[in-house]
Amino acid sequence: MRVNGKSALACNTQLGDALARAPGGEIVVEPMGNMPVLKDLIVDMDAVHWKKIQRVVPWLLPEGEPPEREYIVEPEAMIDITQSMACIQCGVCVSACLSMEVDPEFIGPAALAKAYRFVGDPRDAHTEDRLSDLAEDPHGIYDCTHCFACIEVCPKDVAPMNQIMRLRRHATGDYGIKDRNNGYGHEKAFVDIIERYGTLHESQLLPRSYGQGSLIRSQVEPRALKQLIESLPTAVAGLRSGKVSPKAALIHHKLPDQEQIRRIYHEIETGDGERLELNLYIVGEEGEGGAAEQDPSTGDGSEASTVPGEAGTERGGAEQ
Amino acid sequence: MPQHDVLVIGAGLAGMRAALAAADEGVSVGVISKIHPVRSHSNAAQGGINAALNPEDSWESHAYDTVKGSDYLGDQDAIEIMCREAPKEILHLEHLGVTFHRGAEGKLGTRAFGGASAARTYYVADITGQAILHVLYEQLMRRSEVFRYEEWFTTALVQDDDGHVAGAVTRNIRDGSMELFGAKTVILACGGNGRVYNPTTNALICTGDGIAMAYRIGAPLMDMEMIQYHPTTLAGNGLLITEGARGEGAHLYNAQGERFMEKYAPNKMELASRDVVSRAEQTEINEGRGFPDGTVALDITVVPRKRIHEALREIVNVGRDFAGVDITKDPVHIKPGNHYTMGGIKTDIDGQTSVPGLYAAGEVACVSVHGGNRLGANSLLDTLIFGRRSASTPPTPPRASACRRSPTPAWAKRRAWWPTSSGASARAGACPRSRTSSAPRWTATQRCIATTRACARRSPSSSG
Repeated sequence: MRVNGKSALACNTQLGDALARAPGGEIVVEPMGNMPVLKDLIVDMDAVHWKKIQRVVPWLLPEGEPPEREYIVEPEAMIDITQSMACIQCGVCVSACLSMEVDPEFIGPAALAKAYRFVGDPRDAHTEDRLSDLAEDPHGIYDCTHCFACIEVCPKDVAPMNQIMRLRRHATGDYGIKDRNNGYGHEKAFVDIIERYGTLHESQLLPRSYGQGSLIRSQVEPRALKQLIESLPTAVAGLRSGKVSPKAALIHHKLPDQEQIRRIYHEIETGDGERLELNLYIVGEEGEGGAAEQDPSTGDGSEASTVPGEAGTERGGAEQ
Repeated sequence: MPQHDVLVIGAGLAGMRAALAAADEGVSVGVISKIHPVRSHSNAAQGGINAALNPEDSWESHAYDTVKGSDYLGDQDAIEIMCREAPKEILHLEHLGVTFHRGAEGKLGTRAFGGASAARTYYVADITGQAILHVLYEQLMRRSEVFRYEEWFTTALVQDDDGHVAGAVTRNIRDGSMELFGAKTVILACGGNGRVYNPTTNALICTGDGIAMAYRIGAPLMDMEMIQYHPTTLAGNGLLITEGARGEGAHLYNAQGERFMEKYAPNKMELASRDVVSRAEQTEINEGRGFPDGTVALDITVVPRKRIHEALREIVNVGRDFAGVDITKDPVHIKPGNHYTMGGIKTDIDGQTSVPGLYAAGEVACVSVHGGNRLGANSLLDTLIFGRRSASTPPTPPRASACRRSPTPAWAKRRAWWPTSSGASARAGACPRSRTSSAPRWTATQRCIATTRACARRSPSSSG
């Protein structure tokens, strides 16, 4: 349900905390969002949540006959997907999802976290099919706006948005899936712009997303042209309100020590190729930075450590 | 009236495993659960599931530990079956997709558990029950031929004139309507009755409905006095701290800072069987060596921090949310608490009760593999092995004449609110199986033909 407007599980919400946060000293409880209300606080989870779960083909599809004994799998892979396995299907993230409010057909945080459980599972033989299915779906992985709402409300630290970002990284980085939603191009545009300027050059974003880095080339891409024309009103509005000036739109300043940024890129690209996937089930290594980072005396370092870890250490993770 | 060959009541591990096994037999299956299946109490099983799968281990050793752990009160033939079939069942789960954590070389990893002479507990962090439950539900979603009636409360079992179970009376919680289900076989898998105790580690749903329903139609109950007290439940609210914590190496201390298990079980220490540890704790508390709040301390800080986060994640959350303790830094106060009903509806090794057509599996049943004390991580195994076995016996239909008669009990007919139209068939689709068909083991093609024929001749009355 929603407690004081925030999606939460009633069973682990302390009354005192809810009261302290209640405006006007009155706790307001409402049914979950994004799902049709059946009666009072009861919503129809079958119609939304479970339908979306069913959408991501939620069962393991291994290749051929099973082995005589167990599948041999890297231990880390199983620990990695334990985070999505920890999902209890409570639907709180679905209730909180802002993207789903705008696009009710968005597959959504819970179902995509479930999808990652199979994509990350080495036993599954349809990883690429699953990824390209979710990337090509207009309501798929690129529909997430990276707002962190699901991470904030999840009672089990599943961090659904992080799972969606992992799906994206697998789709772009590992499988190079150039989807029709242009998620691939958009991500590449961000990475390239930051490498070049150090900060986001917004007026370059659209042409680069659709035209592989060039204003002129984007004009010959019919899809890009359509997008460019469609976004003209936004650009004009920006100019009118003074949010952007023609000068700022065309000439973007570089950071004084852009070399440092390039060095980071270089290190990532020439590194040992190991991608650090920070995960709640793997944090807290003794004597490592991660342990110190998630060591505040509140004893609640888990959320604090994942969020910067996920967003900060991975290339192409923190955009869209 | 929805009609199924096999009607499973309860959709925890035992119920879903039975439903999948019955579907494998090619019969029509309906699963009724008073809550959504993934909310079942099997969720709460944290530590793991036992099997002698390692080449160095043997089922005999597993069986010996189980017999000994049961205070020699368990049925040794049933225990042998359970322990022999355990490795195959674990591999089956692994092939279905359960994300068991791995050891070296990527093979299935194990952890030590109370009362076991080898590390033979397979696990998924500390959410083993939840992981298996969700994977079985994935399989149910995949098997569209299994009818699921989610959030339907079963109120009574129905017998025909010969005493053969012929169905169940249910209430659709969503709209309050009553519905009668017809079945050739009913498998009860509705869990234990921990909620008669307070505090208990059991969820609000563990109200013993299945035990009561079976008792009301004369099925004998067995070992109902055998109640397990779990050694580590959180002070105040009785929330479970998994035995896995001690399996990972956590220690128990009394208020004087003594590791008191040295006195009671010098060899196995904290990993003695549950009744031993619970009794030891209670003795310490009774003799004044506990903390003022009537507890002793569980010190998990001896387990490496990384390992705690990896393998005892839920316990970190439980400690934080419900006791205000960071278990990676401080000991947590615990005491013994009600946990498991070893007894239940008396069944044979195939889950059959003494009422014809009525089967039972899981905590609701008493085979009895647990005797006077269930070993940790044997309950998941019990649900799966006997869930499958109870569904693998082909349903023996009631006499044809009895079957044709409406099994609606007389008292039900008198009531004005008895529904004339069926909510069940509207929501879940009517069962296409003919009522009088026997239940042979069909091939896929035969099944397809039979279903088509049944659909063609389905009369309006059979679809409700």
